[in-house]
Amino acid sequence: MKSKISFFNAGIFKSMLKRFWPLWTAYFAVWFMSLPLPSLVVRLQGVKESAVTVVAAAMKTSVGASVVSAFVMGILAAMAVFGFLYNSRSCGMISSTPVRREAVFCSAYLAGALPVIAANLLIAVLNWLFTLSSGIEGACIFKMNAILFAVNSMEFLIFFSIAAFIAMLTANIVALPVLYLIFNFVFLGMEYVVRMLYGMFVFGYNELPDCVLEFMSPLVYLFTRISLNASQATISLTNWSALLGYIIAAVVLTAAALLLYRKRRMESAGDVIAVKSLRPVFKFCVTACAALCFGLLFFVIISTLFTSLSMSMLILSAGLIIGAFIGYFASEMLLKKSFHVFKGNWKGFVITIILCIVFAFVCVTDLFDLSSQLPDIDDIEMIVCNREAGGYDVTERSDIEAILKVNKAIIDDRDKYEGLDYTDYESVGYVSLRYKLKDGRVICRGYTLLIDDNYKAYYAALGSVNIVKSCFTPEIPVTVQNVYDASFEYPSGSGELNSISLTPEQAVDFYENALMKDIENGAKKPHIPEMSSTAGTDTPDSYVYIELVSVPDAPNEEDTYDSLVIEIDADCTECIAWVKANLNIDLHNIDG
Amino acid sequence: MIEVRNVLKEFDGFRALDDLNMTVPTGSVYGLVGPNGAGKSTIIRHLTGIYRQDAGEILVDGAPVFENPGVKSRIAYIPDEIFYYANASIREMMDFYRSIYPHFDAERFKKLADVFGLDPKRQMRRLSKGMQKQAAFWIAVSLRPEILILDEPVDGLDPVMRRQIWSIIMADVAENGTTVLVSSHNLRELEDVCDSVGIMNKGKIMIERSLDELQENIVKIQLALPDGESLPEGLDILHKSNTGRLQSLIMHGTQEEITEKLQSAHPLFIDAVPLTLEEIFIYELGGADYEVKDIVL
Amino acid sequence: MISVNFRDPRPIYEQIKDNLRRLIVSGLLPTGSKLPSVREMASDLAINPSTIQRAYRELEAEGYISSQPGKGSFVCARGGVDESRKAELLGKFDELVTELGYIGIDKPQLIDRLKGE
Repeated sequence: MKSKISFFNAGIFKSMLKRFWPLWTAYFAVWFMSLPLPSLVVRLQGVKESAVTVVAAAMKTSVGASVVSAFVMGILAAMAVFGFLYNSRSCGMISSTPVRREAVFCSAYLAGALPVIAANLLIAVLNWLFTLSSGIEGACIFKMNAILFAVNSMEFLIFFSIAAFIAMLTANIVALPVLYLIFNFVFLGMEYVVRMLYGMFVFGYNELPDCVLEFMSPLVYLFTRISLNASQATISLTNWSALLGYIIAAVVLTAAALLLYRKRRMESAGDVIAVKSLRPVFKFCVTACAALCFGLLFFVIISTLFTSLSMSMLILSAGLIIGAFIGYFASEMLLKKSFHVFKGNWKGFVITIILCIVFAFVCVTDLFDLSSQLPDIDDIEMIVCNREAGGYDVTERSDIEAILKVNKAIIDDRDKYEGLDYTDYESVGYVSLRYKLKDGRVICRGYTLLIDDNYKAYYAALGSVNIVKSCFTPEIPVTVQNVYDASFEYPSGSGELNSISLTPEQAVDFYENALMKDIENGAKKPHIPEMSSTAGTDTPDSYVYIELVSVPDAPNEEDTYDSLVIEIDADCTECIAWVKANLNIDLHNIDG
Repeated sequence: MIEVRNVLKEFDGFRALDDLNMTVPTGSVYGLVGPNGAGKSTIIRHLTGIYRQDAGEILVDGAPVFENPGVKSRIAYIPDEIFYYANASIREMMDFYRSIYPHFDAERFKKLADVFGLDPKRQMRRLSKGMQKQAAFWIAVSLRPEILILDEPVDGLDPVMRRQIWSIIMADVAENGTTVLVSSHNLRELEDVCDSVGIMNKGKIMIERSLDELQENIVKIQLALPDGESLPEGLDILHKSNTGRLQSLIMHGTQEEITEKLQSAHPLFIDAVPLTLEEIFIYELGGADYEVKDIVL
Repeated sequence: MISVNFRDPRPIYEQIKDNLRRLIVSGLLPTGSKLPSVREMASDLAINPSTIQRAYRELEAEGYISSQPGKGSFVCARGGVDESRKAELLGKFDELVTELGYIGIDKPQLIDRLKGE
């Protein structure tokens, strides 16, 4: 008797490979029609220039689409090769064969992964052949296709491993894709719901930062981060480290799946959750998620009718309890595979009700006084203020202190703001603060205020010289080399706008000698937006536009662009003087 | 030899196997009988390595079955519901088993083609249930197993095919000493082919004996006693009924023993008849739990 | 050549024994002829080989057949049957005679019958 444990069985591997040939073939066919075939068509048409752009564009799209393709194929392949576990006949049959579980698992896994990887390879090879010498350098084409193959295959393995892991948790063929979808989105989704709930109740929390748990949804995470930079000579992928990180996770999940399979009880075939100890976890998660989602929904719908604290508490509790009811008994029905679950389960549900009420209480009353929590000045690296409206980057310590002071003042006046009905007022202000901490965390606060002292103090703080300077410091430095277009626009007497072109030298001169001086003098303070319409003068402002370009050294990298819009209003004495001196236009004397 | 020792198995609190003990001697044809829900299919799934017991041991020739390819490769299993891949033909299923079981005999498979009379190219799902079973037998027998485990094997087969199959199995037993475990409700059939019987109920083996022993130690007596005479003490009576003066008694004991004992009551008439397996089953289990209507035989 | 009646209440091995004895006594299986192997008979009748073996063993004990290892079972010469079988048959004879007497066939009629009329 052999003493080493075999991890592979050719019989099982081959049979799975053969049985699911339609799936592998369909996958190949879809990819073939999306990439190599169009490339071939382009090639046969033979026009050089368009071929380059078409090929590059096609490659970029493919890399982008590969995440979705991997997401879908991952679950389909897992359903195919692990499907035998979900039916007591096939499960019994495979389990009675003289093949150890490790060998069954590995053979099944390979039967699901190898054909897809082989298809990916074939697609890349065909595409390489079809796009050879279409105007792009040979080495480039090879690299492009190699990257495509690597990305496609890695992404597939990531999703396939997730699906394989989920496949071991369940014993029901319908539950598998459902749980897979849930697993891929629930963390992100629930974080969003919880943050929204927070935002409804905790003063200052209705500014939503990016969700921290985005990485728990590889589809979303990779879709926004993986892309191909393809230009004339260089090809590169934006983010290999994300892929590699997920591959490590995939290896861990696959190992976990193997261990789960070894322990699996085959009598679970047909159950929604195969692992006994996970059933209460499933029930809890479904109940919690249903409670939170329904609680939020219910509250949003009903709360417009009431504003008092006690009513809020009641509405939220009601919503949470209804949601928990649905989640609790629905999950119990799924686990027991019967509709008759209402007897004898009430103890657990009563506990759930109590938890819902407690949660509602904590939320509505802000029991832990989360609204007062602000980061320590020493932990803050920078603050981004009012990001939506253009954004102010606050980096100097003194400025940060000032903003923090305003924030604290707003919190101290909390009672005033919470009791307001904002529809009574014509104009309201909005303060949005994103504290970026040194350890990488982001803390967000947002407040709707009246145009009061706090609001004015906020804008006063934003008027510091450092902040304003940073607003007018684009990523591409304003130098003669970088300016490719500049103009000055001013209103004529009839109200029309006239435009004068400026040379790069003029633009730079204006920037350094007029604008910067005005800033340092404190002339270019940000206006409180809601108050600007009360300005008495009818004089429309004039503008200086500067367009910047950065041409990289490497000949085949893309150019980057930026622009500056400088408004010249009555306070900008240096700017007005410059305009008069250099362009012979007297902004004070324009016919109005 | 298959040994099952003190096996316990629970499904969500329900005890399917309750301290089960069973021994299937090598080369025997063991009939596993019991009412529905007794746990027959459950223990069979343990013997074939599908389920793992919560406690106890399941050994084949001293080696545990679970996750033991060496043991499992010598066991052929035919379940009550035949398994096949969706679009597979008989040949394709044969190829699959051939690739997994090391002892598969392709020659034998060919030779038996005439016996089973099925076209290997036909799709399994298009065959009737009976023919599917035939195909399963065809493949199982070609596996050259040392142990053949059959769960409700001949349901749905016509008498001719039934006989063919048993004929092949018996030849195997005679020639190769194959051990056969059959679970069935068809006790009349089992009577012909089994030499050992295990009667199972509520997760336990109630009685396990060779068929001869079983049949010799239970007897049906038709008895008429004269007035004033009653039955002697110490009789192990399983069932009693009477029409007028004629009593019908089912008792434990050999025919000779019982007849002798009853002589002391000076019977007017006494006749001893052996019982069929079906009758033994009904009367042995006809105790407290299993409701059996009074059958006039 | 042998058939088994499944409805017959007698155990199968007894039926086989009776069948074989009849064949031997009637001369259809002459002295020295070879009986079918256990395997053959088990396969033909689709019954357990141990049942066949038991029948053969008991017939051998009774003296009707003898088994040679490796060669098979053969019909023995007449007259070698053992005492217990003789006693059994005589007992049955007595029972038959009693019943025949009951229905009016008396001993002289039986003697005539035995003489071959």
